[in-house]
Amino acid sequence: MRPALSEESPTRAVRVGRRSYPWGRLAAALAALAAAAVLAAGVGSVAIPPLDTVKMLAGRLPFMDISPSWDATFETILWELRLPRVALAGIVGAALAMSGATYQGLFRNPLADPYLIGAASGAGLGAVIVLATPAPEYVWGVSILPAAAFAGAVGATTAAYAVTRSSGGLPLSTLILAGVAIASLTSAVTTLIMIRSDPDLRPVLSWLMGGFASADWNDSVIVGLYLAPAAAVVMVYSRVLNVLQLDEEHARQLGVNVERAKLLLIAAASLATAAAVSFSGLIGFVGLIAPHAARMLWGADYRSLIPLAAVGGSAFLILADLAARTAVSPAELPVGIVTALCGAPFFLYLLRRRRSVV
Amino acid sequence: MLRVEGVRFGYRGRAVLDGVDARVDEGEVVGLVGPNGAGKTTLLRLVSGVLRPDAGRVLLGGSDVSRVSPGDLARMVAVVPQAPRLPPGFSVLDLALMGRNAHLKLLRWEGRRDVEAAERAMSLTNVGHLSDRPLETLSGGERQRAVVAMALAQEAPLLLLDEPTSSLDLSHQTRVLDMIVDAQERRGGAALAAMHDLTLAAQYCDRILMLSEGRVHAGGTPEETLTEENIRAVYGARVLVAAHPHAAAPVVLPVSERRRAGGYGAGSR
Repeated sequence: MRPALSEESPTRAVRVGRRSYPWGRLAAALAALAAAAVLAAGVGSVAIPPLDTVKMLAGRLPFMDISPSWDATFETILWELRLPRVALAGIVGAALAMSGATYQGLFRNPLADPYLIGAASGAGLGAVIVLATPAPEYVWGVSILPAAAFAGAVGATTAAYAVTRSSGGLPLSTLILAGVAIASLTSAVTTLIMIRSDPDLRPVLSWLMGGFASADWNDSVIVGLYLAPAAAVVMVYSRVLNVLQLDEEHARQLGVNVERAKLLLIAAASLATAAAVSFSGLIGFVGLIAPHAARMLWGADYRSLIPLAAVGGSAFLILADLAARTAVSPAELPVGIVTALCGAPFFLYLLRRRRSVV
Repeated sequence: MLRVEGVRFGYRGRAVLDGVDARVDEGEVVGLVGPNGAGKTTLLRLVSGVLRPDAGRVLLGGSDVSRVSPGDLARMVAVVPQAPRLPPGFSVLDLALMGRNAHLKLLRWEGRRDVEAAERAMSLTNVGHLSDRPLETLSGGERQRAVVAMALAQEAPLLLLDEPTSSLDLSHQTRVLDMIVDAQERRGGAALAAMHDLTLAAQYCDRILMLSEGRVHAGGTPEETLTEENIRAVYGARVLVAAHPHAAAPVVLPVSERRRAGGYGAGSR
């Protein structure tokens, strides 16, 4: 080998602290989530003071002996009405934020969101096929609604992915345009199916509008059961998701099995989307706002971004649902309107800020 | 270490490489030169396993690259791409640690050994002081050194470089190449580098492989390959090859057709 011409490169001491996981930030985010939940549980036609809510919650814990100092009806309102609703909004918010963060990483596109890329409408189409056609809703006593929604979400995501992949060097907005087209197509088919089916469309319509008015504890448990494996896959692949931010060829050269990672991540994000859509209809922008807030506050590393986005999305949707049921009380707004009122301007802001980069 | 045997490859029926043989031995720096479209980048992509040859074989340490898993391959070859996408929001250290991916199981996060390897690579490429800097704030030279640090942190015996100096100004060109050759020498590794600048290639490479339209036109030491005849045949350009005043390497000087003819309009062909 030829002698190098320069002087020895100076071997500077590199100062790196131990790279530790941001547990403190996660704890702070969880505390904010708990505060949002207690607040939301207390507000309504019957106001429950936050302290009483905390006491009632603590009283259910083992070894906690708190003598009731509150109105007995509070207990019923809290456990039968408010908390199931808060829990479902929270878990759906976490699912949407997690799938939004995953789609953003997978597509290397900060504008991705399960609603904007068409995954949510795909899930909606899958669910409406089960709800509004003679297709059986239960197989062996288990609702196939989430499975149909999952198939719809995977189909829509794959279509969006195929379009952006074959368009190579086109700007990031291609994905969103593809999402708009896919969402239009799926909602057209959804409407067609609804018009041609059973004359009583009210339950399907109110479900499509999105919301948590009919929430019960079971719903949260089922969404949680779908969310858990999806979250496990996304967290296992969170470090690989960082490497995928380079680009797919480069990630492969760094040793990533890119095809397998993409397959599992699309499946996981679509499963989380489908679980959310099956129980709460189409709610947009949570998957856009929460990951961005987490990224701005705490950095881009997906290992911390995904849990922080999930906690943030959970708190955001709980508060959005609180606004939806109190803003025009006693009537209720669909919660999707509240999230769109917050999310659409934010999306436009991102689009404007990104214009130089896109 | 690397053997390329009769490799053919085409994109959509158009042959890019048409029967290429090449080898890189332990500790060698081999330059890959040739005009745009000669197949340099394609050859590097075949060696790094992202493309599969239509015919022929690429052997690394005796095993066929197309049969090796991405993880095993990344422990043998590291790549410095020509224009890597550097994700905003990640730091130089984050990037160097991504180079450790092939050494980590799926469920493992970087440990002390990986941080040490990343730090070593960063100090070799002189970006240690930029450890915490976000990638989007780096200058062109710093970006390139950060990317080289990531490839070095991969600790693979063979390093592939695609035009490593094309985006750099004059002072950084030699600095980055010095650093790469130094680092590979220290670790006993080899390198295969596609290079645009023939004079730079002559100074850094033990051997040079000259590609033309998908075939090897010439191969050997810089003195053997970088001749006026070869360069005219491959690039279609008239050059003067002289001896370097301070180094044992040929210098390739472009020659203007206009000057030779002594004025405007006087065609010399």
